[in-house]
Amino acid sequence: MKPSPGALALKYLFILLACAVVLYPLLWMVTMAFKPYPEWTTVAGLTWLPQDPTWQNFEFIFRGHAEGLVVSLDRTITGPLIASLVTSICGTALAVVSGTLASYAVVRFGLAQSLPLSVLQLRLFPPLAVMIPVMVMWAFIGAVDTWWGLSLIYGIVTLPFAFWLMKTFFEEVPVEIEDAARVSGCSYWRVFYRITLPIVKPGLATCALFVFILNWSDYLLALMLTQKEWVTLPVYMATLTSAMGGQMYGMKAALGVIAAIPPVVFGLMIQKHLVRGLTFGALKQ
Amino acid sequence: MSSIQIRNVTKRFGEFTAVRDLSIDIEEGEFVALLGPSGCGKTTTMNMIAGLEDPTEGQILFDGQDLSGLRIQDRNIGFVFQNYAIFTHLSVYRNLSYGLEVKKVPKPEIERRVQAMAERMSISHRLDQPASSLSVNEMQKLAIGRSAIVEPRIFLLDEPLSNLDAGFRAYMRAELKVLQHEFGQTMIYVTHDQIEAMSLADKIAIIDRGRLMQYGAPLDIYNDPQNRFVANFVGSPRMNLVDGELREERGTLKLMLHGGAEIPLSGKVRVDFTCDGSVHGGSFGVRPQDIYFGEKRGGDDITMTGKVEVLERVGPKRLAYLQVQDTLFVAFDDLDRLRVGDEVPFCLPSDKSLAFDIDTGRRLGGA
Repeated sequence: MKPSPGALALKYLFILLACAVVLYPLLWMVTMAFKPYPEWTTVAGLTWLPQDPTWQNFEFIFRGHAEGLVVSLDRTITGPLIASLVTSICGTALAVVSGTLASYAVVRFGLAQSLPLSVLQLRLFPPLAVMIPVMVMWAFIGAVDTWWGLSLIYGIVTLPFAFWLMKTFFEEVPVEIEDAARVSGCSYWRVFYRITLPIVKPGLATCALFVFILNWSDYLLALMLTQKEWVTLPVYMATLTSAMGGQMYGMKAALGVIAAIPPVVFGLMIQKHLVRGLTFGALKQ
Repeated sequence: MSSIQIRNVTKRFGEFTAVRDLSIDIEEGEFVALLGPSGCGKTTTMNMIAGLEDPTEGQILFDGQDLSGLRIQDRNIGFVFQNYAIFTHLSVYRNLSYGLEVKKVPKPEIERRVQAMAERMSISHRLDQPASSLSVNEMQKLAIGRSAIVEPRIFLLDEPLSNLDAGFRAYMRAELKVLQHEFGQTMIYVTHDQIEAMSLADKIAIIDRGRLMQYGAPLDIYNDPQNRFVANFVGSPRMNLVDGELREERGTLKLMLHGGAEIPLSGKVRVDFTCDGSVHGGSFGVRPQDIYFGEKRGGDDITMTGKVEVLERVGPKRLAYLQVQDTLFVAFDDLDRLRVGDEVPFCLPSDKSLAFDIDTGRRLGGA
């Protein structure tokens, strides 16, 4: 049945509203990033668009100081940016690789039948509840404030997500396709990486993106397990205050814009797989 | 090309026994159908031959050689799956070339064989396209081509026609027969469709609940079923099988049917029923085309009277459903004069009727 024009209008109005709710703060962040200090500190006369667009905020977080500003930073964004990239990518790789291998073993070979639920348990309690023991353990093995220590905990925390997501994708692959490859002369390993993995590639890409976003936006773990060397972007952002000026909103906005770039680029890179990956389970074989 | 011996093979999945003590000998170049209802263990048997499953007990020999130690990738088997198992992420060409690539066949040779096979299966115009874009019929051809291109020692087909529409299925059935001649391969074919099995196979193995019920040439199985299950399963329309108690009354042996009617036994079928004195319950079998109307043609034939319940047209002929008390007999209306509601006499030919023991299902007497 074709919807009536009224219903259609209502539908679009709703979509528009939903978009506005999402886009408005984003727009605010982007415009604020380009506003000079007086514009984002003023209470009266706030404007939608920067009246006098400037790179001042970006210059400030990259160089530690900027022309026309009396305050300065003792830490630029470079360190945290690298820390975030390194730990998120390593953590994602760890979670996706081990999650993929583990879920394949469970789905195809019926190994470790209790694994799915025990893996899920990792996410059944609030992270804060285990944070202190983890801190103690990490301190014990010398993993606090190291890239591998943070990557390791990222990998562990996001593993259940990767595991369960990949499990549903593998369950969709008909076993006969693998049997056919084996009959053709492939070893188990070759079947896995030449036949099964390419088939679930959309799922793999989607899974990696989701896990990356989870790791990229983590605040708590990085706050607890880093001190100086490997402070990540979200933690760094929280430190952007000055004794004189209070919260440095302009700089935070600039930081937010930069922080949004990697997930967006990643998303665009795998865009062609994304739709297929998100609807994988819904399609008939 | 290989011969296959299946020796006392049993396969259990936990508590469930899928295949029990199965023994089948398949000669080189034979086309054998494994026929049985769904869940009877025929696909499991096929998987064991392919090496996808290991038998719990027993052996499978290829040319007299036990394969249990041989990895599946070294067995050189062609397998066509029910759902085709096409590599949808690859092109049609890569699907065909895959097995050859794995076997490290030189590139020009691959190229030549893929072209030849694509032409043979008439999918050469699709070679560069992704396999996912093929129609079901083309996928079927691709699946067969992909299995045949590696020139396997044996060729296994697991219900390859069951997903096809009726027209293409009939075409593929004929095509498969031609292909088998061309390839000259030992072929094993799993199906639950007796017409497919009858028309394609040199030999049919009928399996029920994991047990081999009968193994032989299609016509032998049709004419001479060894047990009630086979008699009931093979043939379309189905054989009339009516159950009852054997009772001797004033010198006449009768089968008292559960529906209330009785069949006075005489001639060969009487001898069959009495060959084993311990049998008390019997099953009387006669094929619809063997029942006739009108005058008794043989002295030992059995005359019954029934009421025509339904007449059903099947092609040029009509099937008559004849009610005798509470028992229904199906016969071909060879006179074409019957009308619904008629009380008509009909004859069961004694020498073409079969006798079964109702408890064990085994055939009594027989050839």
